[in-house]
Amino acid sequence: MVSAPSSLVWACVSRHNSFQRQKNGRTKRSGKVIFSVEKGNVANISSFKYSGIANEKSVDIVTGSNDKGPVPVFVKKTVSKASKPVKAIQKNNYSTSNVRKAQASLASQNTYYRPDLQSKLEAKFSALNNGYKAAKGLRKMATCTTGRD
Amino acid sequence: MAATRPLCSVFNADGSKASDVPLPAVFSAPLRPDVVQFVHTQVNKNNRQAYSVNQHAGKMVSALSWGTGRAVSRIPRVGGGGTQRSGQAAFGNMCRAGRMFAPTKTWRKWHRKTNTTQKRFAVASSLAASAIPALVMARGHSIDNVVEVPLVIGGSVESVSKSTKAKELLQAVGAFDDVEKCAASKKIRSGKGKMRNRRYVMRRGPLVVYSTNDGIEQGFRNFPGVELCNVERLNLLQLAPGGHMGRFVVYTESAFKALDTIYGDAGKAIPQLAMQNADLARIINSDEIQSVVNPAKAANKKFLRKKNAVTSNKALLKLSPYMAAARASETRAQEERKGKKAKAIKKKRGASRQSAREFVEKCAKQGDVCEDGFTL
Repeated sequence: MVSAPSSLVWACVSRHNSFQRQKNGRTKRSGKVIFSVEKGNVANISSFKYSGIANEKSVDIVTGSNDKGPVPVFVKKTVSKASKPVKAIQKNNYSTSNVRKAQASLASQNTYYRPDLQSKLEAKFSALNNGYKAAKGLRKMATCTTGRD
Repeated sequence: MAATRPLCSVFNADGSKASDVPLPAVFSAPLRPDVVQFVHTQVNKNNRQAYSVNQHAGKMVSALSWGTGRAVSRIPRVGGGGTQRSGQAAFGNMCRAGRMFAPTKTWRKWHRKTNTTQKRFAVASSLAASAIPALVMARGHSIDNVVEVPLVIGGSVESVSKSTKAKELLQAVGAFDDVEKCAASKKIRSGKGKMRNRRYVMRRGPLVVYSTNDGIEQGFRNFPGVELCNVERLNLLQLAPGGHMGRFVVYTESAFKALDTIYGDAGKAIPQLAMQNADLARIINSDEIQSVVNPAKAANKKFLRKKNAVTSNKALLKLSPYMAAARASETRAQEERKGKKAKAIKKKRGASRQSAREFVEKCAKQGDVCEDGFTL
């Protein structure tokens, strides 16, 4: 197995990589926003802190399912399995069908792993959950306004 | 080199683990995207063919400037008469049927010489990058189901000459996703290239590196995006397509072992690391560094907007804290005074109302006006 330090990997991939999605302006000064869509990037922002590829440890919320349909599921990287991509991402499937309970357990699952990403993790969990609920018709879709009005 | 090298798994054609093999030393080469990119741009120019416009194009007429005084511009003009062409401007890049500006020449510098050491550096660097899953993913390969990176296949893989067998093999080790991604990515090229025998564009898939071709070329070559390369002839254009290192490489066991003789003490020198430990976060947070750096300075003080103490009570209180107590006692005194005054007024008004009522009653009793004179 080969491993490169996170900071070195980030230096190699930060300028451009296949996961980046750049929006608006062409230059840094013209208000460019760079998103990143790799697995393990909980905020989908292209930065070292959130990067799912550069960091040894990364957390994310992905779509899983229980008996009631799609649910958000917590995943994290297994540091020792970094060179084995098929085993690298550990999916914490929960047996309970209670999504609220799963949300409450996020903190304990992440306490010693990436506590700096806890708030983003919870935000993504509830955002996804609200989306699934809206898709099922259990909840109104969040209204989204664009522009100034 | 490190005394003990990490081990790398060798997989059978069915995806099961066969054995372990020590990682060749070349995988510890420095990761240098800048060198790889530079060498790639140089080397990439070496398969260009010369082109140019006809060297006589736009120069086939005899033309001379008419000079000044004829109320036309001084551009050379075609001489003679009897044809529309005569008198028309010629030669200049702005003229109809003139030559182009700076006509292209076949003797342009098409190819680039690149230092052999630099080329070897770039190849070693991109080999090292191909062993780091993060960089392979960042290049765009889909390796989520791959059993291990670097991926080494043992057994008789070099004699797999049938594509069905090769497909099964790639599926077993999780490498076929990348082939499928390539197949799905096939699109018609934008631009004129499509009329110049470059009709389709497609992503690059896995690079299969072998040491002897016992049929492996025939077995693997027809998959979309898959390329094959002999380990003796590793090529930067294949290892770092587009100048981006981190190609997904599938090694045969013998090719993987051969890397140890091609690079290292027995073969070509492996470039030295500029920084033995590139883990910046670990260096910064080490005791050695943290014990000598200054403690973190407090953040800059935030200055608030200046407020006028005459108009702003808050600002006044900051200057003279007693003002709060003074104002409170003043208010209290004011209210007290107000209360006293009100009481006095009430008392007074109450008395005067009484006498007024008595007067009215007395008048009412009197009867007709002036019956008893004017005095009451």
